[in-house]
Amino acid sequence: MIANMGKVFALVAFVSLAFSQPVLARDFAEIYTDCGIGAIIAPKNDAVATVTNVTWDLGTTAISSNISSPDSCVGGKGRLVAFIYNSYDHLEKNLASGTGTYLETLIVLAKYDVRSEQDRQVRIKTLRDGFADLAANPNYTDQTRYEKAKALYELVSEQVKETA
Amino acid sequence: MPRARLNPLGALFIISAILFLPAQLQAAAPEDLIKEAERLDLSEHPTWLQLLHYEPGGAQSVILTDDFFLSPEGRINPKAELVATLRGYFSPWSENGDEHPRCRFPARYFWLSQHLPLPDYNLRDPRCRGLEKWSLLDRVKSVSLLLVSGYFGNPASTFGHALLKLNTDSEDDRQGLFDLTLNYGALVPEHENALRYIARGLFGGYRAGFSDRYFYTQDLVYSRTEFRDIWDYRLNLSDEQRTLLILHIWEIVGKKFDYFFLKKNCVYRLAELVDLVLDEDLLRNSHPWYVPEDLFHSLKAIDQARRQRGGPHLIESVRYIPSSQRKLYHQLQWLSPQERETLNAIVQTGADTLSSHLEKLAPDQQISVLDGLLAYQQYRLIAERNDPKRADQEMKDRILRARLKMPPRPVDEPEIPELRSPADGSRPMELGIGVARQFNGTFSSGCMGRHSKKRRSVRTA
Repeated sequence: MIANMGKVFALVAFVSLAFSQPVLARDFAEIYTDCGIGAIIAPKNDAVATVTNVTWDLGTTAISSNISSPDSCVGGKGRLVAFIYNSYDHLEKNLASGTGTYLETLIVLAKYDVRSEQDRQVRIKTLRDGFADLAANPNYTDQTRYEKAKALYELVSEQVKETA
Repeated sequence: MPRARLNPLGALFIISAILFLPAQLQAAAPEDLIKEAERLDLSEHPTWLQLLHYEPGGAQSVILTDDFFLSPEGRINPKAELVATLRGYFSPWSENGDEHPRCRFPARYFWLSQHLPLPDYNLRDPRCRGLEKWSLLDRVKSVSLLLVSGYFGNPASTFGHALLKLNTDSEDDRQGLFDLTLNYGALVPEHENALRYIARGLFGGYRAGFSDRYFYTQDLVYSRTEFRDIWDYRLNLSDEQRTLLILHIWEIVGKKFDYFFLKKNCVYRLAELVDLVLDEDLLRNSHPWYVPEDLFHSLKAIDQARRQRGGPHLIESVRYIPSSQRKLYHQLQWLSPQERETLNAIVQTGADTLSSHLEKLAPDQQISVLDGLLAYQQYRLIAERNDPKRADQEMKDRILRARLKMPPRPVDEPEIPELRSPADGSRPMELGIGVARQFNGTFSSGCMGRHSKKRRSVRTA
């Protein structure tokens, strides 16, 4: 009986592990695609340098307010995915030092459970430690922004779930 | 059966009720409202014309998008548009409340309600789900106009740029990274030919419009990629002015205009929005151009005039937001001589010497050097963003990993001396046009505004 229960437990654990990553991965990929997060903030142009007071995308992505974004991209995960993807370089720098505007905003946006300054420091430390593991990946330099942002998003999502 | 007779007291009550009935209930029919609007000549009221974006003295609206108008003649006939707007108020509601004129044009009805007895008028109609979802009326505490310094990396940005930000002052977002920010720009196709770009930019040919994005996206571009300074002019608007402005932004985002680089450009269109809610004229300008500094000079002039009259000022505050490049300069200057020497040595000799250089320093000093190095490497990579060097990326990642092994600590950010706003100088008085060959052999255009007295400091990337 105990052996059978052990088998059942192992099976449940296996199934859970087998599907936990893909669920998050589908989350990020779906949001990224559905919300057009790949739209470049400041696109390049061969003839003219980065043209930034040019608007070719009149607010159709999760980086816009919810005037023209679909419901699924407004607030919550849509905003979080867009924020991580677009601000990745600055999140990287803020995570390195453990402080900074973009990191502070990420903590709030991801809805980490923070009830005191001590809580906040603990969350930042945990996130920073997890990020150090991501950066330690030998392939980190060759990863695309999408891959890095996805990894960070999954890390944040897991941590928020654990501390909820 | 005896015929019922009206009690005299009852008759008196009914007559009194009719005579003293609230105006909203008396004038319920659209035709009554239209007559009253005609009597008040509302179709020629400056605010009505501004809401429709008719230019002063112009024969038609500058908005090109058809669905901005309820009347087929709305673009050329403000009276027809007013009549259609009033009739639209009474049109039946469909399942999608957002399609109702009351939800599409809330600014028009907000303004009209101050002149006409619109029956059952409600500023916040729950049937306008899209507008309610936007929910900015509850959250926006103030409005800022942002002056972004000039940028020679992009001809269209030589004069600088302007943005309009709706400040929520939220506890959860103290830096305002998710404050909605309005940007106006032209829709330029990719790989546009330089000469066509110049011609269309100067003489028309591009469509343009407003986009609403979270402030952090503008911060990423202007401050952290193009290294431009920003001055945040927070305006002192009444609740009514702020409401009208927000509601009109809702009406206008996504609508198309013609773009003209010299005059009907980003700052002009933003100035039009703010001009809508002010009593003073922001757009008075005899020059054939309108540059960002013109707007901010006008704001200052209005503010000063109001203060002299003892009235409410227009500019509540001006906040300087240094670019990330300027922050980097100060961060590196803040290092001690030993730390700076170490940083320079590592930059010169490469990431392989990182450990050997750092081990000579105390942990606190190592953190300062690593933070400085990381900021510097990121700066280099932004400059290389079109074609980043792998060696620089590897260097940055090695620094990153080394920094992550050290404990967290706030980055040394010394107080950065405030730079005077370009609008504190004299107004732009001269205009020149030049064409230059860029280092890669392509042509670019440049429109240089020059001041006759003080030359403003314009940063180049």
